[in-house]
Amino acid sequence: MSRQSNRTTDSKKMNSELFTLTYGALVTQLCKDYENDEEVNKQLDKMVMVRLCFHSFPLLPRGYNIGVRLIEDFLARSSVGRCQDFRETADVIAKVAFKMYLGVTPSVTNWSPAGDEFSLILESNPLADFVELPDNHSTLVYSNLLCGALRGALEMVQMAVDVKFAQDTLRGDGVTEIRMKFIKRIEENLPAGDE
Amino acid sequence: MTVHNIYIFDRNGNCLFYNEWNRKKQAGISKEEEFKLMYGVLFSIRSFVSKMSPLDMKDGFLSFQTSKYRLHYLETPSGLKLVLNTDLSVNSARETLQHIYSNVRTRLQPRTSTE
Repeated sequence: MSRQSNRTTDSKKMNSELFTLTYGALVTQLCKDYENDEEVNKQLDKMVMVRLCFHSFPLLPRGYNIGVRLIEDFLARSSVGRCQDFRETADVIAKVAFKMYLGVTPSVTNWSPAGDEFSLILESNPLADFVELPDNHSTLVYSNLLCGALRGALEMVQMAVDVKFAQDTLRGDGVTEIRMKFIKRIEENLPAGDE
Repeated sequence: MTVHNIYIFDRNGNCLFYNEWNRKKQAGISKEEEFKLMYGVLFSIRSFVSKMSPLDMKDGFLSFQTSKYRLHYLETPSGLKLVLNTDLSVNSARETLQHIYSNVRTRLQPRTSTE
């Protein structure tokens, strides 16, 4: 796909089936490229943009994860400001970000007592429509790309988080649950050499 | 109303974009030094403002003015910094800066990577 220099910030509608199938093709290819599921999970987590061209992003020479780029797009389009706490962040992720990019709104539940951990429950996962995991891929976390994207995006707004799938309908669970844990705020430093 | 110049910095202090209009007096240092100086000042003001703030602040510092110009500042949560210098007739350029961010940003994006 060639780079478009006249991209606008209008949200373009995209056929969700095409999206789902593109993602499926991507995971399938990764399964062919890498020996075991663990490695595929890792690749999905740090996914390079080059392979995933569904969002008219620029082609990048090296692996840079989706979230890192997506956050800029998200902030510009949504005009959401800085969140005051992790609860607000959770709400924005669920109600604005997921809605904007995946067209679904997960519910935010299962807060830890300390308020530093919560779950996103997805009633339906657009990435996993039409998908069945074959028996020999029992440890594959099919939608692991979402974890990487969330981690990368939040890192760019000075938040280190741990993201993983706690449940997945593809593996026989009743719902799809993404567990997010706040680790720390990343402090911004003055670049070296600037006095 | 006059817009004197605009700077856009990435999160690491690199100047991604600069342009000027009707800037009659130059700083007398190289552009590179000027960018560094500007970024350093922004960084310091930001930290000063947040230390002095009597309440939890959200957006931080928005602008400052001298007898001749006003500096408008917008920082996105992702650390992109937009600076617009205008004359004193412009009260707030916040919406303009937000507009610039939303609409022009995509062209800058390939260069904002921190890799």
